[in-house]
Amino acid sequence: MTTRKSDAPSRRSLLKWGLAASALPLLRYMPRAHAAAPAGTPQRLILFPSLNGAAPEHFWPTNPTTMNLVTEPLARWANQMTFVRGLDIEGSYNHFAVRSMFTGAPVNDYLSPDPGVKSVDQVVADHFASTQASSLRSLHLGAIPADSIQFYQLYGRSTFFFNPTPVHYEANPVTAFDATFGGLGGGGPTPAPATDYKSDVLALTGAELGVLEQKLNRSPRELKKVRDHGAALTGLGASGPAAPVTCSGGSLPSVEALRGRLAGNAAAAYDYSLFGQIMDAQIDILARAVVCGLTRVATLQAGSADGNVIVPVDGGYPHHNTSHGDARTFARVQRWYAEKLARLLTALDVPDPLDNSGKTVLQNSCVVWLSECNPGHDSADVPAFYVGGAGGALKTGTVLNLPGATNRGLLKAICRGMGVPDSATGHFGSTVLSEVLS
Amino acid sequence: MSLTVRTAPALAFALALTACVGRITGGDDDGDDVNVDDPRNLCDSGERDVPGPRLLRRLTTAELTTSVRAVFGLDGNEWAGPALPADPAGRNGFTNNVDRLLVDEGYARGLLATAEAIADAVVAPTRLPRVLPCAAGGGEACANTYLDTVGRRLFRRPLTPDERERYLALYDKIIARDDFATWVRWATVALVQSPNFVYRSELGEPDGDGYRLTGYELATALAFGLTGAPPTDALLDRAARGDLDSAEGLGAAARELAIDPATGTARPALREVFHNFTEQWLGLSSLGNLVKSPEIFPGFNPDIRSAMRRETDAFVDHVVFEEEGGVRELLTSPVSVVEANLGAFYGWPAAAGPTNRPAGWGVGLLAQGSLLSINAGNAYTSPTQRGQLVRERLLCYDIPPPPPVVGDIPAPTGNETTRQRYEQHAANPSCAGCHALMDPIGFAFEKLDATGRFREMEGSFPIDDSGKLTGAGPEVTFTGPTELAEALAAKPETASCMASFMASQAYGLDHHDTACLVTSPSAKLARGEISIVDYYIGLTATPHFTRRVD
Repeated sequence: MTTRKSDAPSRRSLLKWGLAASALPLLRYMPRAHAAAPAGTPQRLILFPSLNGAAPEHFWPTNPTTMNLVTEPLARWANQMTFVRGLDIEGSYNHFAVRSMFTGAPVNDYLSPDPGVKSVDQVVADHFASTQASSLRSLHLGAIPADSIQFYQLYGRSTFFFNPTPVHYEANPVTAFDATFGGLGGGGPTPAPATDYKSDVLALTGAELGVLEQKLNRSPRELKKVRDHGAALTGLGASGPAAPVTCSGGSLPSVEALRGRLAGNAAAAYDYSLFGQIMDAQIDILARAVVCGLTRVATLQAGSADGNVIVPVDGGYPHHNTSHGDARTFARVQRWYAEKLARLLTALDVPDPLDNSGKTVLQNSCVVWLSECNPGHDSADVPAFYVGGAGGALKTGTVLNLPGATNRGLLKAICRGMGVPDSATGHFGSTVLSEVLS
Repeated sequence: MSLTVRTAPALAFALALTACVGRITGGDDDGDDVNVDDPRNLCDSGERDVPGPRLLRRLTTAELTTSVRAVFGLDGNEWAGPALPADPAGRNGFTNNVDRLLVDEGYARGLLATAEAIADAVVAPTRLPRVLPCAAGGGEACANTYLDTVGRRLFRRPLTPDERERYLALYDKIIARDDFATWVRWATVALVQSPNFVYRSELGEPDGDGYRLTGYELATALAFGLTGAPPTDALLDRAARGDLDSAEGLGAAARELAIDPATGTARPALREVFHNFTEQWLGLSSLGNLVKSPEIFPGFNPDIRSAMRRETDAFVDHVVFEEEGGVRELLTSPVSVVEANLGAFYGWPAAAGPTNRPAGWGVGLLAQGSLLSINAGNAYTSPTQRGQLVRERLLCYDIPPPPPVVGDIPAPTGNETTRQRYEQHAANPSCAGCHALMDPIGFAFEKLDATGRFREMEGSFPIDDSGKLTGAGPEVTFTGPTELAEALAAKPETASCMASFMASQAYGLDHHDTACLVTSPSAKLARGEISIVDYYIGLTATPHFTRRVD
């Protein structure tokens, strides 16, 4: 294992220092010194992929005192943001890089098999589960994550997260809310019965799978299905020491506004006309779950790699088609997503109920915005930033200019910042983007 | 970039192209190192009418929902529906592919939550007496009754003695501390998340050098294949009596499920199965979100989109079920069934019921406004998309996705036709290979605009809608959509391709893999000897339907 952390000054770090002068206004907002997150810090990881990138002239903070067109809605959190310029999606490009960006695995084209490794959210979720387990291992939400429910996970255009098979996402905020908060008085399903025989039932199901398995020794594909099914049950039965959950109950107005149209209707959650409402509702669900500590890892996938969801800017722009047109117009489309991210950051910018040090949830989080490619379809120097320093483990309030840096190095560094041992991140390679570490 | 093709002539053609290079996917079928998106290569041996592999087919969300409602009688107020992840689409766009429908942790978690919600609804005071009348008295005999009725319906077969023992052991444990309804609740959770419910078993019993599906497995395959629902008690009873073990008995049951004897026409359930097929085969689900330029197509609104979908469904109903047509009729019928608002959008005179399409507007399925709108841009037609539809869905070629860095089609300047822009793009040698497979077909639709409406001119330019079909036998030339439809209908490959897609839906396998499972009924369909309805019934008479191999 090699790391950049202990190396002599590198080309990258020299470039970084070279940029430091121009980054001074941002640096003004930087805390004077960063330390690694204190042990026990309730860190969170949130992934917010941004599809199709943005023109550099409208994305990067050219004048660090102000954000650019796309990122201006986030200016309030400039001191908690780190932009990483020069980042490449290694081993992949174009829209099919969606499967590479968080796994670090090469994907050659749409028809390539799935990466077969865990994405960073799952790596971190594994780590949290073994150290400070939360009630919900990770939460995965979507907002029109495909052009139709019938295109769910089609061709890898809409799969970003892997464990190592594609992680399911919930596109219907009503279903997501009920499933996430139902047991916490969130207005969802029935309360749990007095006596819980769940473990007995899981054991019974496991026995049935065992019988089935015995019939399949000459049918390897079917045998694998049954074994994977059994492993999934094991996951359900595992119950580590869960962190205290302080979620307050009650409904979310953004969810309730959709309940009439979406309750029990999975396909309706793919209606373009609901995009903005669904985004708001999913962000509110995600924020509540993360703030209260119900989960500490979450993702929100808005749109699909070459989908044409209508983004409600002006009269509405089809997302992907617009990326091939006027750069400024597309930047305004991407700014809309930044406004939604601001909604999330606002909700996270509250005292952390799991941390008595006075830090906010956002300070204890790392919220990652990363694109799979640029409007020209190449995956070099893609838009990338994160917000929040993961409790002090990651640098904030700066613009790093790191030509040739890769998503793999960033993923590895985020894992380091989250305390994940390097033994669990071998598939991200051996190079750590140490410049982002405090 | 790669091209996956399955037929020898097609492969030879593809290999001759410079930019669309052929690839036959393959790999060991060891279960551990397979790309679940890839076909299984069942047809590589060239054999005909072969039985396929033993399968466990996880229920689709629709199948699970229908099953639960059928078994317990729960309505939408009692149970809102499953909290399950959506069914992932296979490479050919079908969401019931046996290799994509898996139970991972996310699905298992949703299934457990779903099972608990169902169980809560079942033990509700208003429901339990109807599901299990003896529940008020409880007792082990009543528990056995639950397993004999609800258990049998969910498993689509009686429980084995060992299975029964497990549920009764759970009964003993629960009844020592809690009441009977509590056992019903947890037994229901176990039954609903059981692999015996969640998977449609097509494993069979050893028989000679292969396996023969049991009567119960056949009942399940018949019911889901022809009605989209689980087997009824009556059909399970027929399986128990051995009625499905003979070809005659199986055929009779299939026909009864498919055809209403009172009218002699297909039952509504089969029509629904076929509508689901056309939706996935043709990608019709994207119509709902389709947007067109409001300046160019001001009337293209959600009402028109919905009416276009109903037009296609009505057309299919008319040709396939009322006229009992085959593939030729589906492609060449001049009939259309439009509602008043859509007729006004098209500019057609008002008509009630089926009417012939005006001259120039094309014929058959491919002239539907729904398909033409989906396979076009928001302002301009797309000969590439329209040609791709024909090439992939009617001729079973796999067109690879565009290369990673692809130049855009030249933007319109107002000084050229769409065809000229596409020809200019295809003049680039790196684009030519793949576009040659699609654009010359798509040009035939050029007189039908991005919403399917007829136009004689594009701006001030006359439209050339001549085209050609290469690489699928002798080159065929045509002018306009009607001649293209006739050319496709004349090719046996077209019907064979559609047959393999219909089998894909029925058998849960990729269409490349089903071609050799349905050789005989496919050939009959291609020769026009049977209708599409008869083909569906014929899918229950193939060797694959009753037998399997390792």
